Amino acid sequence: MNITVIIAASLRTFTNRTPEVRLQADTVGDALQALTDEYPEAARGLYDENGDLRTFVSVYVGDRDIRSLKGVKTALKEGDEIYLIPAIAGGACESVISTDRMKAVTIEEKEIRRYSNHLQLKELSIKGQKRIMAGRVFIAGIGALGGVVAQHLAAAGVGTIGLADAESVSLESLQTQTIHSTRDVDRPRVSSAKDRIKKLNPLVNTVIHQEKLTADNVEEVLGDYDIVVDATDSFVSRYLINDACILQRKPEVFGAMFQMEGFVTILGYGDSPCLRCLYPSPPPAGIVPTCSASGVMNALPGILGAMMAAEVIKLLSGSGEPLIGRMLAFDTWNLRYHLVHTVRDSGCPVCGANPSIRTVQDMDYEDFCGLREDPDEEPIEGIDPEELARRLGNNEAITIVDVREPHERAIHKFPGTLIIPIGQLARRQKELDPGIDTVFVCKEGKRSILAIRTLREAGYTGPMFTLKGGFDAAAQIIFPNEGAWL
Amino acid sequence: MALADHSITDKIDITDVTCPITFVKAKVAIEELEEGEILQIHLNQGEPLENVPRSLGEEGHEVLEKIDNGDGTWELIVRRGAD
Repeated sequence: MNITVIIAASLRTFTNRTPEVRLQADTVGDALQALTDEYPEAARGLYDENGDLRTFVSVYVGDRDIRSLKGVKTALKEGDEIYLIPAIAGGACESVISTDRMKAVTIEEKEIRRYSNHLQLKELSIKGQKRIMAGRVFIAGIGALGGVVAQHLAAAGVGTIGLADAESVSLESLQTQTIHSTRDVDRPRVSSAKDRIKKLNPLVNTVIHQEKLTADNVEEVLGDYDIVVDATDSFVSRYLINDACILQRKPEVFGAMFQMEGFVTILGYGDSPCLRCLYPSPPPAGIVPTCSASGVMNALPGILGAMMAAEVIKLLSGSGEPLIGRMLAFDTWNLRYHLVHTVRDSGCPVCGANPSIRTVQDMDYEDFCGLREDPDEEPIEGIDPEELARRLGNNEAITIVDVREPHERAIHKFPGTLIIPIGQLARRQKELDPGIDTVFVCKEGKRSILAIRTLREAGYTGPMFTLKGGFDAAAQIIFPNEGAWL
Repeated sequence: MALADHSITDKIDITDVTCPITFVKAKVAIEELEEGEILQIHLNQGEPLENVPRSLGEEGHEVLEKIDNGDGTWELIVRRGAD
């Protein structure tokens, strides 16, 4: 059988840094024998002096541990993959809170009852809880994920929690953002979250930053926080926060989610890579849909946010095995998860041996993420919803193209439009009349710009406009007698 | 031995609380001490007397003596262990 053996980074010292070995074998035992024949050093890493497989190395066939199969006698089939993963990778870490700061905290009568769950745990106990109470944690983005992290950390008794977000609570976000309430709609998210934290635990000091993080303010805002939690949803803010954390030597707990899937890891601490090591550049703008265009299953941020809070608790208390050098990826819908190893890149421009980014001011984050408009490119004209409503009212000849996805159109139809998904635009451009104006509509007015660029590249020459603010902005103006979200 | 034979560093009363706060209060008090120092714990007979000494023992502290006050309360004499 043709078999691939995948070797975790920390075991590659035994295989001349080779991450993957292809070989022929019928059983796991045969495969490991073939591996050690090729790399005799690997025998030292895999077997103890009695010739038994070392217990700290887990061997998986696919996603099944061979201990739950037939051990080394497990039969293999053509194309199987064997993973060698050391069970104790990552290791324990030291607390980010110094012993002096821990000792300066006293646990008072009222705190004994409030924090009794942690005080009972051997793993946290009094010293761990004191370190949590001394901790200063900054949370960027107080939406679905950040809100869950904030609530867990507030209940845990983290001394100071910084909340940064420039947006306001919206009705459509309430299904996933459980920190905010119906009565908080249109209030700044940071104010709503601060109120919630105060109700949950008045002993926590909450600092709010109602502003967008930029290269100009990020260093000052992060100030003397011990840990930064990135719960934002844009690549611009993620790379900015990553770089600032590396430059200020702050550990970052990173979480990201998409529909049903979640990812969590710790960046820039100990042996952990940074975001640029993992992903040197973001995908081109417009390729990955934003959260609002793709939806999130509402229990996912609860699961992922609680995991991120647990990572913060481990870093503060200096116990357990945080996700240092590892990333947990999980799919809530199919209940699959993978704990993968993450590796630092010595050539990384921010955390590598010879960094080229020495201050966040060195970077143009908008440009890096493909959001800066190219000055040589022909500008894209927009049309206001009021103007479109007026022209429709006058029965002017105008083509409206709806580029939204079917599930978005199902929420609210835009009658009388031509429905063409972005992927089909180039092929179907002959359906458009270059003699009249064509207006492109999406949910927020971003994908419609991508649609116009796509058609220009495909050679379409007719006049094209993007509906400013997308369907969200237009619904109340063009269809004033209907609910915006039926 | 009697109470007077011990050099008591600190005392706490946990007769006003129930499990698990009994143990948590005792744990917080003993961890405030240095290794080798002695804590005197005033506690109720029954569940606290059964569980608190055992739990402190599991945490690495040494229960030196249990003294019956004859009124349903006891004094527990515990030496703080190493971290």
